[in-house]
Amino acid sequence: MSLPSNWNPLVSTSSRLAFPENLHEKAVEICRKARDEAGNSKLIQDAPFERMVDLWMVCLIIGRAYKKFDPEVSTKDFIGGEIFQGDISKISIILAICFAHENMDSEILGNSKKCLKIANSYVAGGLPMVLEAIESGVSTNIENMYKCLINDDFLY
Amino acid sequence: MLYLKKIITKNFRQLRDIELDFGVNETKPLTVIRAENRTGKTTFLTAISWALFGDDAFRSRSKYRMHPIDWDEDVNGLDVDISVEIHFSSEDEDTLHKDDFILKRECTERISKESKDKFDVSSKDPVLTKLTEGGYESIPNPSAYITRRLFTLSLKDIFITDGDKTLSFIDSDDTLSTRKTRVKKAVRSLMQLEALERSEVHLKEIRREISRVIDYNSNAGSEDSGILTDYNDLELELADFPGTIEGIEDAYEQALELSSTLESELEQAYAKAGGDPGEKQQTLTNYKDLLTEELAGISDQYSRMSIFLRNEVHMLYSHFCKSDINLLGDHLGKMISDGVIPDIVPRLAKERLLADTCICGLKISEHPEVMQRFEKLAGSGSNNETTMFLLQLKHDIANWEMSSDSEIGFLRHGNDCLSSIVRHRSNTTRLENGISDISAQLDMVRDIDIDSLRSRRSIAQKEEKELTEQLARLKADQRSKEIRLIELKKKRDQILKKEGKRDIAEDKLMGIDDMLRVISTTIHALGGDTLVEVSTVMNDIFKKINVQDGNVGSVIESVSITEEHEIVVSGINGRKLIPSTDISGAQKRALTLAFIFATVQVSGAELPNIIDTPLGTQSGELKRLMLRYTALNSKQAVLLLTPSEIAGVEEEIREYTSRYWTLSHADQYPKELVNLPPVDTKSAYLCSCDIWSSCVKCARHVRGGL
Repeated sequence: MSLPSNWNPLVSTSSRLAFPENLHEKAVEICRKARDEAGNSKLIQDAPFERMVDLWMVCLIIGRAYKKFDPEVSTKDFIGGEIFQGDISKISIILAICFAHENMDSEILGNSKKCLKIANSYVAGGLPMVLEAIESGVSTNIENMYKCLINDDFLY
Repeated sequence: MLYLKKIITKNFRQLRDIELDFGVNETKPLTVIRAENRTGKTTFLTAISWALFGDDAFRSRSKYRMHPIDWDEDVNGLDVDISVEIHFSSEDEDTLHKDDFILKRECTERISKESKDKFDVSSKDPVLTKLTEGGYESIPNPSAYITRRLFTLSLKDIFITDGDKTLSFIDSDDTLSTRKTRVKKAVRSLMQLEALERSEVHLKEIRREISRVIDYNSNAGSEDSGILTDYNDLELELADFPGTIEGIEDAYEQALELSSTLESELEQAYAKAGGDPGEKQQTLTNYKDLLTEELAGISDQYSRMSIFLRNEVHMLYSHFCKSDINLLGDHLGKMISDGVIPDIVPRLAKERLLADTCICGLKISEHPEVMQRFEKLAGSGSNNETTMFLLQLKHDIANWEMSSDSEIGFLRHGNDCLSSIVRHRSNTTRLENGISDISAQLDMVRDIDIDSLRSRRSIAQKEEKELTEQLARLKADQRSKEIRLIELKKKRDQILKKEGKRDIAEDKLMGIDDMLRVISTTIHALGGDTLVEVSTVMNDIFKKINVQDGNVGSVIESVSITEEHEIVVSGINGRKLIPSTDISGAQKRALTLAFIFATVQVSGAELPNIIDTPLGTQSGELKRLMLRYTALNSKQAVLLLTPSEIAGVEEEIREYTSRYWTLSHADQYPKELVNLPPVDTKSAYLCSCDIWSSCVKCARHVRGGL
């Protein structure tokens, strides 16, 4: 027996993916889906992430890796869990993080609202680190970020 | 000595209505015409040249518009009557008797109705009138009278000079051979060598005619007559050879020089460009193409990195969250070993129900309470999706653990991308530097049409080759004809001797041959001696008026003219200096004037000097020396000077000038002239202000001007 390909426990009418409200605009700037003022799509070197959910995933991983968990910050959501439809790999990562956060209590796996709450809190912790990595170097944004990730060079 | 007394112009370009008297005073020989640039100074010189020499004064008369540029055809009609009248006196050097003349030259230019730029010229014969006690006497054939007795055309560039253009004797865009020819003509003209050469040619014609007549009157039979005719014809033919050969040799020398000059220009262009500009351009194009590829390479890496962040984020997780993954792996492993996942009881119960047999062998369907228990067990157990997820997670963990390996995981990917970018960026920098360097080199030769230079060089080289071949053929032909002539002469002599006429012919021809020898020797001697004398005098004059300019970095020891008529400048230890690069502009001008004055002095020709901007950009002592020398060595000199030339030599001008004029131009109002001009056309006008004063006609806004 295996999970159906359309399995997505993160679909929820009440919970959505979110970024900290005070950093939401900066998050948008480094994603290419959002256009610039002239309506042009941004260059990869300036906006490494194609979609905001891609940034959200990286922030989640970094936040969890460095144990930066911020559940109190005011957030601004941007999309629902349905974005992960058909992407078992990402769902797996999100639930694994939540499972580990809840000390292996499998009850969390059936609670999409709580899962997204946990994930958003790690994103809130990880986003400042990712932004700092992007802005800290002298190369392009994408190179700066990669160098920071490779060298584990976070100052935050 | 010829003295200019007055000039009157009508409709000669911007000199629409000018009447000007020249100073005639041997102790104060200068007439100074103060004139800014663009007031008609060069036109003034051209007017005098045209009056004296007519259309011969121009390289191409048809291209020289003489009528005023703002001529209003609607008001004045299409026909423009143009005239220049010169009053002059000619003084006999022995008797000091002066004859006064009036020369008037006229023409009409008819402007085309279709285009103002086109016009037809209708020239009239000049009128030369001599003032005598009885009134006016018309001189027949004025042009010949002027050029033979007063002012030969070849002296025009010596005595009527544009200060800037005089530099063409030593420093111009023309080839060296053209400059040498210019110098040669100037020297030979002054020594009247042309007249001697004309006499030589004339005598040779007479000699041939005498020969022909003698042979014609011979009583020789038809065969002998044939020989006599052949001899005369061949002699005539051979007479043309020297001139033709000389012409071809001149042309060859010019072609050779042109090809050398072009070769040199190409070499210089190559040197500036650091190589063949064509190849450089190709390299530049290649570099630009490579640069595009390198930049595309960087873009490709960026794309790869961005795609990774979207599609391979699990590698990032497995790199950064190793501890989580290990803990999860351990926990799930324990769940599986404890049988918590997957829960097998419901599955077994379902199997038993299907088999309708309990593990103890009891038939389940016959025992309802047993069936109820089995059914309850079949539907029990933990949430299926959760269990399936945990099993899936166990599977994923295995994959994550594998991809955390630095050889295949995020680190490998990240390092690959960044090192590729570094490599591309290094190549980009190298290529950009290369592009910048080559572009700078090509900029140095941007204004040089390399292809045209190559093409012209090729044409010159081809012409060289053709002329060489032509010359060789001609000389071979000449030699064979000379041999033939000797043979024919022997036979001719025998025929004439037979008739007893040989001695008569020989007597007559001997006299002419003697005269030819004298003339030929004189031409050669005068040419050589004159050159040496002009060279020596030029050196003396130059040393008097030249001021060594220490800033130039070269010291001129001497100047001279070679046998090949090249003006050379020698520095310290006899090192040859190149006029165009090794001496200053002031020294070039001084040298040119030294040459002109030397030729004038050696020739003894006494004509007025008319010079436009003689002092150029000279300053200080050199300017004073040049002006003083001009005044002391001319019986009459007309100088057209700009205010900047006048600055610094006011006292010398005062000392040597007997007549002043100021020339202004209506077009310079209101930017330069203060007051409304007294003419309503775009023309020049005169006032008699000297260099210290101004009037309502010539007053200019102060900016270091008048």
